[in-house]
Amino acid sequence: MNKQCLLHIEQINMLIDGTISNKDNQKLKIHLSTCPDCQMYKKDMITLKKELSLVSLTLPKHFSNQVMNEINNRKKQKIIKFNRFIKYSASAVAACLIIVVGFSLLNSNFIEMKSAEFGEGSREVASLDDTVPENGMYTTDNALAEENTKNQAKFNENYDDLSYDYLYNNKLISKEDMENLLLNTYNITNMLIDDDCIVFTTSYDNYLKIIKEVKLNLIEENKTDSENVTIKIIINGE
Amino acid sequence: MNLNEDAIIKKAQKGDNDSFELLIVAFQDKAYAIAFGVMGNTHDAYDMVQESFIKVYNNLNKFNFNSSFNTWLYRIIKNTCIDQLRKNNRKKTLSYDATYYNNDNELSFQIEDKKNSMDAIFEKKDSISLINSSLEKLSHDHRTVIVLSDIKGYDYQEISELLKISLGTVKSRISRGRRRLAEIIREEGTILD
Repeated sequence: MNKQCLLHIEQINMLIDGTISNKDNQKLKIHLSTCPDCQMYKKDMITLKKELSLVSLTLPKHFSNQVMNEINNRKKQKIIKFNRFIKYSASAVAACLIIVVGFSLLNSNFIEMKSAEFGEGSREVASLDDTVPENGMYTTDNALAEENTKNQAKFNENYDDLSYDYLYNNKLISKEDMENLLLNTYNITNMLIDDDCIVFTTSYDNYLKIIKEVKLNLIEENKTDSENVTIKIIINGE
Repeated sequence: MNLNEDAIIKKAQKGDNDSFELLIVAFQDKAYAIAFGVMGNTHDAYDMVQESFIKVYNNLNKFNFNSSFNTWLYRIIKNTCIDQLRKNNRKKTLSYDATYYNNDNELSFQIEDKKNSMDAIFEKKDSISLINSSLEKLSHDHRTVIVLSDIKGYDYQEISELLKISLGTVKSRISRGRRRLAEIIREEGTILD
């Protein structure tokens, strides 16, 4: 075949398909009469077309039924899958609920155990109710807390409404002031006055009042009988 | 699209399975030819046609009569087949057709030997199996037009409308497809000797 033949290839195919125009047919006939390659090509194409027409390319008779069956099968599978999904989802939700409830129960048991272990005070702390206990201390050491509470009570009993702050902020009383105080306020005339101390005997009631007045002056007391107390007030001591 | 076809499609859209089955019967041969054209073998073509009709069934409500049912169906079949080819990781058989052009991008020809004429080859071989194996090696563009034209007997105009390609392209593909198929058959026939 030469390049001239390339122009006639399509026309040969149109000729065997019966779609060539009369004008092109005339031109092709002239070329075919002088070109053995194109003659052979035409013959081959006719044979090929004939052989191709013998090929059976048809679907089975019941193809449409098979498609419909497949559609129905897939629908069923979809339903089964959906049901399975629902089943698994329900199981998963149930499992989650069990875990949550179980965890909650365990947690409440744990709190109760802690309460039993640390007493009622610790329950207040564990319950996240951020109130300060009355004794002002968060401690698990009950003995220490009890000791502190007792000391506080003892202090309050001795010093009544005087606070630690009040005492801390007041200066020591001088010897002269102390003499005047004992003489004028408590009518104590029998005093032994030394350079650094005053010693006298008075009633227990007076004693309680005096120790409030003298504040931070050091006091040594000695109970002489059931009603009276001998007191030594150190004037310049620390 | 005729009125009867429209009515059947509308019934099928409303869930009438009998109407859908009628659609399958009406279009299955054409669908099979197209699927065979793309896939190159009857087994895969069968699966693809079935898969395509299932897709049509599931998406029939999306068909809005703007295009012909034929065109819509063809698009679904072609896409289904191409998706499957991609899944199979199979390369297009175009490479086999690449020898169709020489370096100057012109059609290359061998001088046919009379001993290797189509007649001589088909006399010696089982023509059906030879054609089937050779068709498998053709590009799917060429195979589709050859199948529609020479196996199913559609004319150029019908093929043009179905595949949405111009008449010129149909003529060109038929001419080149037959030419290439003859070469493959000749090569296959020689190998089998």
